[in-house]
Amino acid sequence: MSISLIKSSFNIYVSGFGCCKQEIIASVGPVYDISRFGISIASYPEDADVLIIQGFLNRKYIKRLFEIYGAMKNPKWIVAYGRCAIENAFFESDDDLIKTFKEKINFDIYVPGCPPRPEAFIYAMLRLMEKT
Amino acid sequence: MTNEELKFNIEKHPINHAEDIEKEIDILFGNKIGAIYNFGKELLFDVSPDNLSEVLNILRNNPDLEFNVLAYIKKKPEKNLLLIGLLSYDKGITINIRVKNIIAERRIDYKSIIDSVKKYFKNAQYYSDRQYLKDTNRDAVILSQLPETLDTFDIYLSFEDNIINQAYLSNEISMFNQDILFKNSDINKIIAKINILSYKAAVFPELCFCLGIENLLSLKIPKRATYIRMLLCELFRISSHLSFIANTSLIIGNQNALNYTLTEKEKILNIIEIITGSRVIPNFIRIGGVKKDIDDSIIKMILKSLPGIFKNIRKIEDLFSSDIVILGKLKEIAYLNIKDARSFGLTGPNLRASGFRYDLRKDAGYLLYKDFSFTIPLGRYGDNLDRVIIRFKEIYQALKIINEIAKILPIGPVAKMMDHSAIVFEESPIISSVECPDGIFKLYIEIKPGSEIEIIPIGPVSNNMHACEQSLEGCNFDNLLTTISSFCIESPEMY
Repeated sequence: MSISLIKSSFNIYVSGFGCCKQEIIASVGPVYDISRFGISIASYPEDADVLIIQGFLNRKYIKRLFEIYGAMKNPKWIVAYGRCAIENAFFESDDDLIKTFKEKINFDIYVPGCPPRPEAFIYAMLRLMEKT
Repeated sequence: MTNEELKFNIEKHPINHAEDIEKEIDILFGNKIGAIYNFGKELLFDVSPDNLSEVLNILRNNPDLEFNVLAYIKKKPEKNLLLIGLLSYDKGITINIRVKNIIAERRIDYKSIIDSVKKYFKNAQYYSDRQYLKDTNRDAVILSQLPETLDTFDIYLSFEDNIINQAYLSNEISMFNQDILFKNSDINKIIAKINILSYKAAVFPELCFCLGIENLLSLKIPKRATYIRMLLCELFRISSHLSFIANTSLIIGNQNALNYTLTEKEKILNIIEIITGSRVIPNFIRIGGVKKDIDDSIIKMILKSLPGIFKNIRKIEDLFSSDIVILGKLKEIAYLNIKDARSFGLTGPNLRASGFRYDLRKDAGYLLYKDFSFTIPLGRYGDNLDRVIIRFKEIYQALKIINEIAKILPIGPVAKMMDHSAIVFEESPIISSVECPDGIFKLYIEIKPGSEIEIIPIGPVSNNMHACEQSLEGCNFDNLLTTISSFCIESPEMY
């Protein structure tokens, strides 16, 4: 009897752009194939369960990020992917904004690296599944 | 070549060398401009805002000079600085004008300067304040991210009966300040950070920076190191083009092409990882050479894997050129003829897809590309399909160069032994440029007192966006995403 790898399914919404996104797209490809674990990429925040925050975020994008997070339905989780998101290296010296960002958004999982490898992303998503 | 042909050529282009142009400019302008810096195919000089209009007029209209294309305008309000680039495709030379006030406290009036540039160059319109287009193009607003992969800009459209009248691509969402990125960074830290400026082909900013500094120090690089640099450049070129093809496949909705492309991209990334230790951000180029040597076993592995990669990419190209659905979505859509492509100051595959040959690898002769036999592929019509197919052809040429490099890689050191901390830089501006997969990537580097370094990156994004906006006019709404994707506007813009 074959056992399914899928414990539950996640729709992820990847915000931003940058080197990290290249690796997330690679994890969707046939070599890593994240969909075998029941994880697929959503095009709209309304369809998503997990928000991936990564890449370069300027002031305007952080404001949009709040809108994206607001549009997602509960329950929802947030993953900080890569150095830029983890260290608040948003390339904007706006301390107030970073403070508001930290208050409003609590990360569930951190994936360190610059950029993290696709295996790290898959591992983080599986850990998130276990956590939920 | 007969004597008559030779005479005709000389008469047609009497001044083709940077040194001759430098002399001509010196004679024409005299005290109106500052000292002229010559960096091979790049010239740089200072002009005050009062003399700018006259200088532009002469550079544009003098038959000996004919710098008739505006390559870029870069504003730096916090530094009270403006950079203007004028390009002559026929001569292959760029003139970079640094607009500076003689009295440092006097602020530059950017609006009036751009208005004066508009008189001579139509595409300067792109660099003026265009916020009003957000209000006039409100028939459809597509925010970044919603269509997958088009994530660095918002799209504002006005259309009638499904035909787009005007498009405005706003990249505010992806603009970031590079000064924060390079804050408190010495020269080695800059190499580690600079590569994210072109994250799909991260080796190029590193190379561009190191070439600029080496030019300043008049360093001669070991031949093996130069060959390894070229090997990496071509590997990243393939990776970037495959990424572009994957995005196009995703937007067209062809899952087969997407999966095949991502598989081949992984193979290239695997080679890059074996050489550099990282898949995306190499941090491998150093001033005076490269970080480490390549073993013979790696060379053997590269030579073994190339035929398979070539065969598989050929299959993907066949899919693109024979699949009726793909052809229907790309062929004969969003034409860009040579004249228009040149007027936007386009470079890279987007220009060559329109049929105009201009490639720094051949024209500027940086690194040692002259040692290798390869062709510059050209498109015929400049439509969406040409912009995709030309990237396949560039991949084949890159594979050919890699194959040659792997076969004749000379033995020798891979870096110049030098103590970086002991280097004393003379205070000078530098302009360095390389042929990126999307176009020409330039760095303006200024060495300040105390070896403080200021960097202004100048990428091909603005010109590509401008050309894309114009191509969209008259396009069917259904072809919007494929057209935008074909221009490959994916890098962030820096201010």
